[in-house]
Amino acid sequence: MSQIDLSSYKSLYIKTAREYLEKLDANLASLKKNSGDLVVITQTHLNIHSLGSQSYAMGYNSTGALCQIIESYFHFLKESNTPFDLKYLADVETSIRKVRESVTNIDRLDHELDLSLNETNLFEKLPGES
Amino acid sequence: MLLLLLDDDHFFQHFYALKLREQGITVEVAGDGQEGLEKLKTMRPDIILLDLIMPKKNGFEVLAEISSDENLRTIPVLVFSTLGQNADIDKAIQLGAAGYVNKTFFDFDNLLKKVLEIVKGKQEVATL
Repeated sequence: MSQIDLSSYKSLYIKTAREYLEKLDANLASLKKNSGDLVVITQTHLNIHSLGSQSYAMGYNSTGALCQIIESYFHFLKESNTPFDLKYLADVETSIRKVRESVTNIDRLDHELDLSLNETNLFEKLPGES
Repeated sequence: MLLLLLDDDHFFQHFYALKLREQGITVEVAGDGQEGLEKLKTMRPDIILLDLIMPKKNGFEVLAEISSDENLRTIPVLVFSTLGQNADIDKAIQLGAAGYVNKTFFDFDNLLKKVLEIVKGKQEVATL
């Protein structure tokens, strides 16, 4: 495998990650009003999938892994046409906040946060594929 | 060579389009499956690089439409995704994909090798 200098893509990663995080905030705000909106559930799945994929691609594996737990849950909701259960809202919001903090850390200090505890906690709570 | 890249992720779009253009490949980008199929009405790429998880029409739906269209089915499609489960790869191959690469590995050499092999193979078949 050829070595690619990923550092030159960090600013693109930060920019697109922040765009996805803004979309995720808006999606969760919409789901608070209508937890069964399949369009928003599908959009949330796509946004968190994109954020997780690009995090893994950049080597930010802890950030990617936390995204993947959320992605699996929303994939389950989408495939089973199940409404978002608002009892998980605080946990998902907390996880997205931790991902945002990790992105900020990457931007300022050039390394991600260790989100493994958040990953374990969320994995144990969310139903479905996760 | 003309390549159509179908991917909704701006990050991967930018990275792979840039790297492919550095190799002298002309890259046209579509941000979802529906836009990609629209572009195929007015262009004929030598190869399509197709993400699977996309809005509007996902990669499997795009593959199914390409395979069922006699004007499009001869265009080779290389699936390019983060979905790595064998079932997804098998499904894509059954729907007519010429191969699969995992885009998150950033193994650009492997991607380029597969693109060139597939296009060369198609040209050899065309000259028989």
